[in-house]
Amino acid sequence: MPSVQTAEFEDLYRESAGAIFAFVAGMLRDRSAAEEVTAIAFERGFRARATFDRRRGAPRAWMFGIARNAALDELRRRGRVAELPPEPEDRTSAGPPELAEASARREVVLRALDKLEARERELIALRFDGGLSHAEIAEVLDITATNASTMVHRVVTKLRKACDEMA
Amino acid sequence: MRWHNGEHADPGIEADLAELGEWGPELRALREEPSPEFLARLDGRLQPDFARGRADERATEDKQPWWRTRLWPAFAIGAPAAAGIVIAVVLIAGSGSDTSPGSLPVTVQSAPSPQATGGAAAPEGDNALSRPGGPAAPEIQVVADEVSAGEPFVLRYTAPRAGSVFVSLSPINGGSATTTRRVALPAGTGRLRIATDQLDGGRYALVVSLPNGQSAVRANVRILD
Repeated sequence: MPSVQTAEFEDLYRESAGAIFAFVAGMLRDRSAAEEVTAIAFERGFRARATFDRRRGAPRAWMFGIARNAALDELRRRGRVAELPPEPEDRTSAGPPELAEASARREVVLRALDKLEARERELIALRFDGGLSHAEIAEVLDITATNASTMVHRVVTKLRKACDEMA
Repeated sequence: MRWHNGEHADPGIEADLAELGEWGPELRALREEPSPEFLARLDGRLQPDFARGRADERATEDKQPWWRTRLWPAFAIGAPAAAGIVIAVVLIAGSGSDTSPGSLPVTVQSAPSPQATGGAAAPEGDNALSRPGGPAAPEIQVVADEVSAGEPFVLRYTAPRAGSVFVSLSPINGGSATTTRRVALPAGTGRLRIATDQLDGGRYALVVSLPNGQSAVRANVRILD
């Protein structure tokens, strides 16, 4: 079965680098680490391109699976899953007073995300940072698309409730 | 949501964000974007690997024995018997030529080759020698890279010999899952039609591969919403 040739992998890289970075950054909450993990993921993907079997899924979902494993390796290396370092660039701080409320609301969302289980945060990152469809999430997590859809719905509901409670 | 390089998120994301109510926009705003400096560094880090990969693939192609490229395809089937009539071969899911659990509906409309009907072979230009798989491989072109929802993608082909190709359609950003199927091409000229009724709108990578793994077609195509 044809594997991914170099030219096709380059296309995949150009089309998904931003989404992969966003997904990894969503999992790690550390831009610097996310940059390194994104690079490692593409290097791993390139080395593994000969083993890719397109009968088992789309190249994009396959690449997200590699990035997910690289991010999980990084989290394991740190010896923690949920303890997050402070943001190198504080996205919640706001200068002008009119932005203060928005800043506070983002802080609420960040704290609510911290309350989620690791797997739930992963789903949020795949869906909203990576931009994956339910079918693609299913491929990455090796579950059914129906299951992925249900899980995303549940975690979104849980996140909303957590935000409402913290507000 | 801001997406790098014109990426498109799965359209369903907006619905999921809406479920978050007032918190949806805040979650969206928290999405990280890669910096241009990082992307430049990443390019620089990966380019040597890509260059090596391309060189290795060229070397592998050059080393292939003559019968690999000249006796394409490996799975030759008999030449069409009926002369002068257009044969429509409709491959349906589960017919045996499918190689995936998905059901990419591909229809082949072909006219028998001149050789099969005792006529003269159409002259082949230099393109035949330079195309992937060598002169015996089919030449395939995408007729239009954008189609309206429900309209099929059409590919024109000329196959000097009967054989098979693998057709895959993978969503580039969200959408339906990839489907791949093996399609038998009779010798001659004809069209491949890939139905899109069951697919979401969006951008897809359309790849037609030869049995030896080389790509005959690689195109970014789009189903308009």
